Amino acid sequence: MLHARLECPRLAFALLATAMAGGCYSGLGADGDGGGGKADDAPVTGGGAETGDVPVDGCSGTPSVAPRLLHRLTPLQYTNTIRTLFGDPEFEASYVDEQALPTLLGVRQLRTDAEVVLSRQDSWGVDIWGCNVGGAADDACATSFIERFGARAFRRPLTAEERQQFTDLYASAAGQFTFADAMGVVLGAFLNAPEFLYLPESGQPVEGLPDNIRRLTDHEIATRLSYLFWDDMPDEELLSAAANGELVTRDGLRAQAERMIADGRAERMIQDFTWSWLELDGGQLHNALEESEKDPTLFADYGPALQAAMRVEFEAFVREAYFVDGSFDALMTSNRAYVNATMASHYGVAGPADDATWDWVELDPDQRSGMLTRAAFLTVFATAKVQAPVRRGVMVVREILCSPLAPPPPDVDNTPPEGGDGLDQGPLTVRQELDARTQEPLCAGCHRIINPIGYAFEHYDATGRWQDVEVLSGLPVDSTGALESSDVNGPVANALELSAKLAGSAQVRECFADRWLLRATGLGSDTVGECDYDQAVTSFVSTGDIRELLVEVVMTDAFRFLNTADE
Amino acid sequence: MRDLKHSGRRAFLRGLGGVGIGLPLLEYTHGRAWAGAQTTLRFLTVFDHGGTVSNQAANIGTPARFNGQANIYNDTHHGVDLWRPLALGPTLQLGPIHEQLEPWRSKLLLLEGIDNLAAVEQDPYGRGDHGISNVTAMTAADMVSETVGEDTFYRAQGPSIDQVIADRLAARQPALFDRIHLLVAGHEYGTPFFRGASEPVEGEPNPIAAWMTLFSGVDPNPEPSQEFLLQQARRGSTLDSVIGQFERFKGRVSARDLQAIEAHLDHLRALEQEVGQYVACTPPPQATLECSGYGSCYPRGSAEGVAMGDVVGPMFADMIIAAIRCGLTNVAVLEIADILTPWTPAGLQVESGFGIGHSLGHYAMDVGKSGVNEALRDAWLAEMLDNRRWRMGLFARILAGLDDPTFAEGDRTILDNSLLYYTSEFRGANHIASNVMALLAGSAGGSLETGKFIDYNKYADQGVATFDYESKESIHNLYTTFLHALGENDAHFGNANARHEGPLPGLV
Repeated sequence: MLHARLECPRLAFALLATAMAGGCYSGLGADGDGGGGKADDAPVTGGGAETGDVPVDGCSGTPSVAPRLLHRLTPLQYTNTIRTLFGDPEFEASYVDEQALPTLLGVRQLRTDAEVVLSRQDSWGVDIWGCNVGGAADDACATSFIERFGARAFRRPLTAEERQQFTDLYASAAGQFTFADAMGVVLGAFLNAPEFLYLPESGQPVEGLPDNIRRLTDHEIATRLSYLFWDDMPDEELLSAAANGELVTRDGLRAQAERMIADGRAERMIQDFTWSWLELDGGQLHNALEESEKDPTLFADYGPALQAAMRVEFEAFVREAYFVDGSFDALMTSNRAYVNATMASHYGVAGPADDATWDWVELDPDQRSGMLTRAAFLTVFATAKVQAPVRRGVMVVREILCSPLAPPPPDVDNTPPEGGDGLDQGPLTVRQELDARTQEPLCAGCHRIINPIGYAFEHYDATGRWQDVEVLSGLPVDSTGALESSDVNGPVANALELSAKLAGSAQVRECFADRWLLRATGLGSDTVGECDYDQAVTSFVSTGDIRELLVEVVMTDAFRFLNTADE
Repeated sequence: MRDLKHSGRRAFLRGLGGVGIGLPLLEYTHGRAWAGAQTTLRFLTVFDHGGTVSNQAANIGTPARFNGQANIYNDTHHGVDLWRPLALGPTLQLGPIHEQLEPWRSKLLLLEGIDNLAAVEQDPYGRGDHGISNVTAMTAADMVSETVGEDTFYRAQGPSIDQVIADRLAARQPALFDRIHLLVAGHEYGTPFFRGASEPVEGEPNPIAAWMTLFSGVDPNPEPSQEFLLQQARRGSTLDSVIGQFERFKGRVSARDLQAIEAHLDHLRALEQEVGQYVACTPPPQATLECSGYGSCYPRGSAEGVAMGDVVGPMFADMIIAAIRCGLTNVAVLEIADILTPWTPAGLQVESGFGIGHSLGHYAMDVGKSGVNEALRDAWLAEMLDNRRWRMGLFARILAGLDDPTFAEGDRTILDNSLLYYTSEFRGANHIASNVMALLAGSAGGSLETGKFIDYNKYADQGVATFDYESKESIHNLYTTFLHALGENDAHFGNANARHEGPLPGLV
């Protein structure tokens, strides 16, 4: 499932205006707010930030924080949390409920999963009981278990009331069941508890701020950080930092954020973000990479091995862009690739002699530049036979440029043009057929923006291989295209020039920062305060430093504060 | 919102007080115990995502709502309708997709000329696409939309008809499950089923989990095992605590989060109702498959996950039959995603563009005599017919199971005492929510006269091949009819988009 995203109206005015004129307005609002410049070197407001009395440095006044909905653990977060709680990396949850309102199916799955957890005690790597539950009843052990396990499950120490309630439950269960079963009942009650399944936040008041604007507690910040960067419960070090009051200080927060981003678990989240963002795990109109069918008569080498290699290569590329280069430029333009024999052959470069060996190589700089020219992306956004310029173009417009597009009419023939020689008009390239089919005004409004971007990718076939001649039509490809309505307008000769233009575009960087801001805070760049916007977005536009962006999004008021207003 | 009493669990626990681990006197109930003297009515839906092989709504020339526009599809379409009966007239003559339903022809009621005006009127294009049609197909409700990345999602603002009927029947004829919902997983545009405003309901895609949910308390033995009773007792204790926690938690959340927590509580209480319930009945066999939570199943021991709709579909049909026969529920949904038919040798997967069922449907626009893939017309029709017949085969399987005289109730079969509804979010590949699929079976205990074909199209008398189309009937009226057939007297179902209130004329 996709993570929640919003359009980014702050940054798409030029395109929007043009799109509207062309009849391609999606109906999504643009408030006309231009963003504004960063307050240069504004002083940190006294020592207040260190004591938590003042919102954020560089800004003054009341933090601008919109109310957020109570978060329920996603299936991924639930699975990871159970695995960590019990030291059971093989645990698989049946829980798949991603609806905003919990469903009966989901609540039932959670009940089942809790029972499955209990049945897997032989697989637990963590001794959660602290005693032999197979033996005689041990009330002291139960009390100790409730205290220790409760603090881990609820990600904070239990309140006195909670401690009493779980102790009472144990006493009641111990009167009816064996010691092991009574402990199992208590464990089940923890694993289905609201304080475990949801991430409630009540914050704490800050002097001088309105009653409804509260700062998150240390443990609440720890929880937010942990589920943002790791999709998992806080580790001991984070809980310790919370207990020591370090997370309400800017230095403490930054230190923990940097530590967590450097941890291997952050990569899992970054990969998930990237694959979801680019819809490489499937969307409404296309399958995931591993389920992308290709015509075996055209792509004899295509299959699970190549799909797996594409995934490894793309993940390695993302890993290097974030953790080695740390720059947006690398993501958009690097031509380094991690390949085995299959991938090297696919990219037409020299590489390892076999598929078990992987190595970094430089791809042909005249053919590859950045993530949009990688096989995984190009394979997903293609038909079974040929490249799909519309799908590639739409993805760039919406997700790289953050520009709204109206949905096509519901009954439009969206069978992808494949060109070839079976057409009445004689052999046509994909491009020629698409041009013919999108001429009429109803289509042209959007397609005159989409198509010239998609055409820049015409040199990549349905599996992302370089092609000078199309596989179906046998005609030479034409990769000339254009960015018509962005802050980097102009013609492009191919995807290399397109990627270079996009890499240097402020609009594209704002778009990227917006996606991360939304991921971190639940609020898009159009709903966060000006101060947060400057801190997270404007600075990234000038530096392109991805890792710093990841830190900055958690330093925002939107991340650290809470608005308890009902409306 | 439903607010079940919490006392059942506590009453149940009292039966355990001080019993210890032997649990000799644990209370339990038999599923059949609920059945009263009155006829038990059932409502079943088979929702078949992606429409059918039909050109019937392609002609948008006549209705005023399309501004007198001529049929823009004419020659690009295949010109065939495999869903319609073969002829007009008092006797139903089944069309190609329905052939295998012949044994139950006298118990079918095929309706044409019914629009989903909730979709048509709310779609800015005045037609209804997948998303809009999906969320209105069963709800006939107002909707809201949300754009996420490349995709737009919709949420109905009212409950689906099956949910309303489930609530009504649960009050009149209580059963262990108010409603069951199984999903043959695959490509689709979201669930058409809603419990209430913005509260979608998903089907269970996993046959292992579905079996456990439905049949773990079902056994041919007249009395439950001690192991079962002990497990239920533990489950009851845990649930009792969790419900208490959620009740306290509810008092601490903001007004905007209340709906989620109340929904969670409602679901916990539904689970609580199941605790201790034992049903002496024969369950269907358990699946010998491995399945993920998302319903991707594969043969046990196999290395790869594949969506096995051809295996899971019949299993789900059998589970629904058994659940109804055992009295576990009176309302069931079988949802079939827009899956391809990979088990067909002549499969058109490659030709279907992106390899998903939806794209295959779109080929309807390419295989006409001026279409870009005219040469594929016969192959496309054969594949689509095969695929849709497979889906209809699941319906036939359910009909056979419910019509089995072994399980007759007096002089009627369970099928006779049921109302079955087979539908989709729209008619054909043109994505217009007009003249939607509406195949009924069973007479709801004698309320409906079956064995008929009724066409509400104003131009019906031109014959089944006519492309002229105009109707004033909507699913609003159809669902009001359902309620009446099942003994309710609602004046109207759904939002204000219908042309008129009340049921369809001449049915109940």
